[in-house]
Amino acid sequence: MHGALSSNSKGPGVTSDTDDIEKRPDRRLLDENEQLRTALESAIDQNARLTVERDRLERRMTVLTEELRVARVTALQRMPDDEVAEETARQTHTEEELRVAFEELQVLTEELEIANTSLQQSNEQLDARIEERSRQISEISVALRSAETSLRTVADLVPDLVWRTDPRGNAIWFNRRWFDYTGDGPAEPLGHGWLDAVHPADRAMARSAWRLAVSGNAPYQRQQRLRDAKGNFRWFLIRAEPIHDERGRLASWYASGTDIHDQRRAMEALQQSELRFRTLVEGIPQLVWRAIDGGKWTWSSPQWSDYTGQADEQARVNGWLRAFHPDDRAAAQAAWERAAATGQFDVEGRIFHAAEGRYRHFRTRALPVRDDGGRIIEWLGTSTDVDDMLQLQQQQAVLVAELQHRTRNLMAVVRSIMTRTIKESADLGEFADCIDHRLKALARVQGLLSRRENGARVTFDSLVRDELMAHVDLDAGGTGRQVTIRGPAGVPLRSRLVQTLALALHELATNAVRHGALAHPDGQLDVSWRLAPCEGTEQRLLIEWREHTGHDGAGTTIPGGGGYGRELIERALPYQLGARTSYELRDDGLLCTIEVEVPCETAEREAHDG
Amino acid sequence: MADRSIAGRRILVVEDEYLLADDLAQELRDAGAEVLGPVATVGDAQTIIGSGEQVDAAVLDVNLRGEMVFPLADELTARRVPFAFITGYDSTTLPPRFADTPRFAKPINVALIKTLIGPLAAGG
Repeated sequence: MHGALSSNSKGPGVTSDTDDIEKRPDRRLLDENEQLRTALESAIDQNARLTVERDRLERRMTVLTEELRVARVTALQRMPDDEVAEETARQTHTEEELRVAFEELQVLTEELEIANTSLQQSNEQLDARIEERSRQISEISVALRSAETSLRTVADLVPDLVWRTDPRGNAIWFNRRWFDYTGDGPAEPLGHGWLDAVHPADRAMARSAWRLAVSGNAPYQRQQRLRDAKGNFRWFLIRAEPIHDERGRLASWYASGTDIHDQRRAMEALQQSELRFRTLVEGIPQLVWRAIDGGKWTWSSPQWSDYTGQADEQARVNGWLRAFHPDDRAAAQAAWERAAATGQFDVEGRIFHAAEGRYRHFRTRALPVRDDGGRIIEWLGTSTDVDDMLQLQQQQAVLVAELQHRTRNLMAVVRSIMTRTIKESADLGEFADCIDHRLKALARVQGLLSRRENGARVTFDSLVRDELMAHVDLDAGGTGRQVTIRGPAGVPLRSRLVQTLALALHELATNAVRHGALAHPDGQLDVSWRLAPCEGTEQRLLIEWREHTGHDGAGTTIPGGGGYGRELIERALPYQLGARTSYELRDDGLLCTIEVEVPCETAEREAHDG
Repeated sequence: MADRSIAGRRILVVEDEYLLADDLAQELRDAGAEVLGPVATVGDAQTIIGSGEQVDAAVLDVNLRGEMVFPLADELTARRVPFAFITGYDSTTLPPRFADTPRFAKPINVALIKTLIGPLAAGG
């Protein structure tokens, strides 16, 4: 019957389990059969013995009967009466003996009949029992077939790939999903064939891990990619556990593969998203932080620690307030009180910059993160350094004010020049000519001032060269046919000096061309300057303007004794700039000296000192 | 050109731009005023005030060679001398305490200064 059950099984799958279930009733049945057979054999033996005994008695009775008949015949024919009497006595004895033997035979025959009846009963009993057991076994077999079907159904129903191995780890059965997923043929995954479905990159590790699990009798668990029927790989969690029989012997391994591809991809995407977020948060110049309601910080970015010198733990809860300027803390706390109602946090406050050891202006903002119900879970905030921007704004305000100031000054200067030029001019032609030159000089100096790069100062050599080149030809070294200029390059001039000095140089040059040294073919103009040693932040620049007309008395012919130029040098420069000046019309031409203070630094960046 | 409201008044002119200072001083003198200065620095102006000279009114350039004129303005306020700022700056750059102080935009003229001392003339 066991064999019949095995042949009924449709695959290599569950037969051993049905063995286990079948064994106990089957063994009991065999034991009972054995007992019955022993009893039957003993009854048959006894029966045989009785039959032999009966046969012996029957043969003895036949002999005695024959002896009796012979004796009777002889006695009747030949014997005397006494002999007849003797013979009759002997005959009677034999008859008695025969009767006893017959009775004995009858007893034996009865015993044999009884034994035969018992044997018959035993046989019937045995047949009945065998019939009962056969029925039971048949029922069990049906139940087992049903259980096997259930197991298969369950194994095919679960979404996992399920397989089973022998105790040595060779796969012997797979559920239908395995074949559906991998497209394997029936025999392909058997043994260690299933490893072929594992991604090549995971395969070697899977194989050795599986061997290790089997040899160590320890559960197996790994995430590995399995190839599907189309050749694509998906991530599975493979788990296997050893199953032991009731005597504790390793019976088999059950393995399952759970598709975790989407979860794993989602997790990887999440991790990447998290990584991107972290990279972003830690890469941006803003200080980033998280807080729960009421401004209790739960996290701050590394930038916060780097910037403030405050560790993340120190900044948590209300610790961050200590990085704020004491005067700004109340405003920050008040902003949190408003934040719950308005749904945004926004405050300007100074935050301590550890590296500089000073507070810098920050704009600190946060927006709430809400759950599906609209409740605020936490706040995400940034603190942005606006110190440079504020400084630039302030600088811009100063520059705009300065520009307004200069423009108005310039207009006033233009008006003043015009007024003076009108007074000096004999007619409109002279006025037009003169005002044109003066306005051009003013325009040149404005150009110089506006062309400065990075706040670099206008230098004296560039100023004097520009002005002279408007009147005479000069080479790159600053030398012309009748002109030499000599002095250190790069002497910086303050802006407020530049305009007046330029106008003065213009007047000097104009006078030199019209009436002075350059009005004479052999006249000569030498402009030279030198620097006195620094005193503190200032040093004196000594400028000498020397004309040689080559004709005694020629210098004194300048109309008005120098006019507007002379006024600028003798009065405007001292008044406006504290300069020391001299203006001397000598016999062979003008000697003018100007001594002004300039900053010590050469080509220094200009502060806002005008 | 002499004007009764300004004739004989002692006007302090504090302006570091020579041409402007000179023009204004000339104009004031033409109008019959007596010009104190003109001076180009806060220090020179303080010297004039400190010397005990009578000052009827003052016009102050705000920026004198990079130095702000406000300490001088405070002294004039203390001495109840009416004054005005001569400025190219707009009002926002001035300290709030001078919110009521008149401001004259350059270039200024005698007519503007007359408005400054008008109340004085009416009162005295």
